[in-house]
Amino acid sequence: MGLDAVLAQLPNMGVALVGAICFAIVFRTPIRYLPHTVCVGFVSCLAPRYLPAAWHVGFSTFVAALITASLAHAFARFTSAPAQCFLIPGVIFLVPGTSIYRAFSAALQSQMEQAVILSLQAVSITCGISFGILLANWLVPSRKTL
Amino acid sequence: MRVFLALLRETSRHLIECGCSSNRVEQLMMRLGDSWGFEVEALAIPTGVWISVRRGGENLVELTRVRDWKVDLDRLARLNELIEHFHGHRISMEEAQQRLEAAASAEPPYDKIATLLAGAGTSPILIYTYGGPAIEAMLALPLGIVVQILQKYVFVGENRRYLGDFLSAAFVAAYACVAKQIFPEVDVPRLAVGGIVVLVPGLVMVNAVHEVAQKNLVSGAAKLLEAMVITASLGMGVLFVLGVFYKWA
Repeated sequence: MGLDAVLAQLPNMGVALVGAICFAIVFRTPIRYLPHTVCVGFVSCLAPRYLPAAWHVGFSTFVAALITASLAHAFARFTSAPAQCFLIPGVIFLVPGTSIYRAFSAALQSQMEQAVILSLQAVSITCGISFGILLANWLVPSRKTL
Repeated sequence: MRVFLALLRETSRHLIECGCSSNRVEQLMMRLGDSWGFEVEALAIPTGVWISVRRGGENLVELTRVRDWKVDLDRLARLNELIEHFHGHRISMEEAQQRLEAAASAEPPYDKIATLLAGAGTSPILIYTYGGPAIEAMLALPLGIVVQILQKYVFVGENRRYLGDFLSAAFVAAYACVAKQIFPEVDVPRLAVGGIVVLVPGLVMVNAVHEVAQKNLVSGAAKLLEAMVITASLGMGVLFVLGVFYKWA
């Protein structure tokens, strides 16, 4: 990757960084874990952008969630903090908020075909996240307490 | 035994209140029971926890009701530390009770202004990630601030939750329609979605599926229902305003 390509990605990285900080504060992440949480959020925000565009949205979300949750569990082991401290602000970038809203909006406007497509997309993203987290629980086992 | 049960009851309530999953709460209660020589069974759902503690021939059962819940990771981390100490017998039951009260009333790690700005900052970021122009991202910042104020300080309390979602969504849609009149290049649905997406219960939905996947069917179903009601409140708020706007426009 050349310098130009790296520079072209700087706005995305900046947005990912600011977004990760904002969500960490919104969810009241303890200050001592803020750098770790921002790191997980940053990876989670950027991961879907760098996965192959040809992949199904549910599968790419599954892979992104797997990476995010594995990193969160690794930080949890390293810092003795609950994994949720890193996982929740991280995984928020993957949740299908827009799809859910647009599906509901389409349904209310009687655009049923569009509503079904968007609902299925939301369901596949949700399942992708959930199974990504479950697999990460197995690959990088969570701590015994929280 | 009664002191232990009271401690478990309070701990489980605080855990559910700050966003811990039902499955985790049940596991923790049983682990604490094992550690202190009690046979503990727990059933946690988003609105309450039943705990039974047994030793010898004596059996006590208690229920704690949970009326409010939100994600509070600072409180969760404090509770985690307390549970680890209590599990390892590094603190007594009385000390654990005191520390539990202290954890519940601890000051949040960030002040109100930082939290408001952070919450508001999420809207422009989401607009940018949807491919919105700079003007839309800039318009989303005050929108985010107002939505945060409405959600955190105006519509507070268990009875106002869904009303707050409905009115916040209506406000976001009205703001987007007015912005369209002033700046014609603004995309109303994108600005509305950007403003509202922080309220959409995506995380609740993910937690619900996660609970179901771990065979916590009651908790999963309850969270799915909550997600549906919130989505309906938001959708009705936006569509109410957009319906009026498109009729006039």
